[in-house]
Amino acid sequence: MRKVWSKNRYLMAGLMLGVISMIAVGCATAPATFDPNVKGPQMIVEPSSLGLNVATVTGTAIVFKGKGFDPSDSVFIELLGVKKEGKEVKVPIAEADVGSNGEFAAKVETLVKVSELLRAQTGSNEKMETTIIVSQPTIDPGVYTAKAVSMNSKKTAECKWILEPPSFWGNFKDWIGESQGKIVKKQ
Amino acid sequence: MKKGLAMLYGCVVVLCLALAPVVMAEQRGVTDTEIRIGQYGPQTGPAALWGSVARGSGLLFDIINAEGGIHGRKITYFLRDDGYMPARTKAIVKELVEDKQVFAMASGVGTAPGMAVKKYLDTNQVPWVGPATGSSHWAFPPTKYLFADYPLYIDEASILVNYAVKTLGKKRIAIFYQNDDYGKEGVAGAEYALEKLGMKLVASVSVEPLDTDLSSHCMKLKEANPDMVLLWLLPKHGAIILGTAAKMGFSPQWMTTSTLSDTPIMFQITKGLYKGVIFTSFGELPDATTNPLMDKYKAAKDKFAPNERWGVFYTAGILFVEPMVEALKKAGRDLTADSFVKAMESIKDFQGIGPKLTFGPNQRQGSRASFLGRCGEGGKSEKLSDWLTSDVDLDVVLKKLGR
Repeated sequence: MRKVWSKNRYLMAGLMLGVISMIAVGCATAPATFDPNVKGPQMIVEPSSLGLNVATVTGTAIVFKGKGFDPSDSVFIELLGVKKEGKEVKVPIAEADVGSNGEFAAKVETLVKVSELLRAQTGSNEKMETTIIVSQPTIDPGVYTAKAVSMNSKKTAECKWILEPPSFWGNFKDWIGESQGKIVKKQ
Repeated sequence: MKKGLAMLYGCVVVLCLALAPVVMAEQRGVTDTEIRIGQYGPQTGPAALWGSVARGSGLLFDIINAEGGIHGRKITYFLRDDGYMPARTKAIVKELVEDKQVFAMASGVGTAPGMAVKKYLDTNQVPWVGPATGSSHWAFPPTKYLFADYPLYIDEASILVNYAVKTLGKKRIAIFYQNDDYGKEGVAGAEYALEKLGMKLVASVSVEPLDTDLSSHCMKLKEANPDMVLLWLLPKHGAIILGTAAKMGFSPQWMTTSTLSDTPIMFQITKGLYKGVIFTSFGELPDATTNPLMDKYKAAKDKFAPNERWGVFYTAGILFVEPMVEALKKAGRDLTADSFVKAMESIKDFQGIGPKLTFGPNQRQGSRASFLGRCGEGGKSEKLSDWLTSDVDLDVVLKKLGR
């Protein structure tokens, strides 16, 4: 009898986990898509929002995708209105060549994530492992405008990108990184 | 009335003809008194060590200006920090060309940053001299406005292999390389040289830029029992592999590219393990040369930039733009992008603080030579050879690389 009850309990737990997972997936932000009604250049970013924790930023693939540019052009993506040393500046964060179909996919490289989003530095520990050294606050959380700028024409495209304050789960992951000596906080 | 209109048209035509030479002679970045030159380079971030290249170029321009400029024009130099991030390089170069209106680009550290702007500079007819990497992408195939004078990684590897086998009598050669264009060009040069000698690499082990534990890599190398290992790596990986090998009791002759030729720094970060490492050099060693030009540059550094370290990458920044200054002189007062290109193409056996440089109408790689040095006690380097010219058939190697 006890055994049967135990089996049912596991089944229930499994079902509950499944339901929670489905809710979580359902609640997750749907990936952005291009607007078929726009004829000119346009851009989207995946993911459309990002928590500003070290582990989250460095562990997430951030890709700006664009279309409607001239074939064989190239672009760079800059974040507008970034506060830096008391001024508002533009910060280039990704670049790509435009394909023959006028589309591009610009990935944000690790060095950019560390330098421009986390405002941290890379270093090495005694084992010569790469470490992230945090000594100042990250870029301000907020809703930013990202702009794709063509190198060879006047074409541009914009999209919004949300940078969120560190989450509880993100902070927990950073705490693990810190305890392993891979994140060094000098604040 | 008709007569008046005819007179007016006549005046307009005469005025247009009179102004035509002025308009035609207008060249971006060149005025009566000024030539504007730009350079990007990492002044901050993990590659900042190489940022001294851009400041070294600035020293040469300071010297030229102090000597009165070139044909009555002073050089205005714009140095921008790209942090070794190609996205920033693109934004900087667009700003330098379209807002600052530079005439030409000087040097510039890094293959990825350079590749991000290569096409843009060519399309906009901006002369570019001396990108500070040994990639074959700059000069093969040749493009009109881009001139390279950093030795090719392919040539460096071949020169090292020939020296190891023919002079040092090494018989078992291995390579440890970064798994990208930089490392693969080192492998290609080594394989070519070995094939000509009737030999093969006994091991070829790659590393990813973000790898940090190199124990398994080192074990693979050790198992192949090489007596010489070529290193085509980031300085960080060079330090890790020497430390790991020392712990494993693995001590072949290490040889490496000019990228790891700042021996005082390498000696320091390897805690002395760099002693004995043989490297290729793109130019005279800062503290082991009898070249009088180096004495002149050192005196100027002490005057204009007394706080700068007199290191190999700082002097490299000078040598990479020496032919640019030579061409600005040769082009004369009538300086345009085209007259500059013609002047560059006329450079034959030019001797600065690097190898002799020769360019031509279809020749955009100024030299195929390097010399060898060895790291001594305290990181001091000594010269091991004179300039050695590569005999690599680039058509063969580039074809092998899928180009």
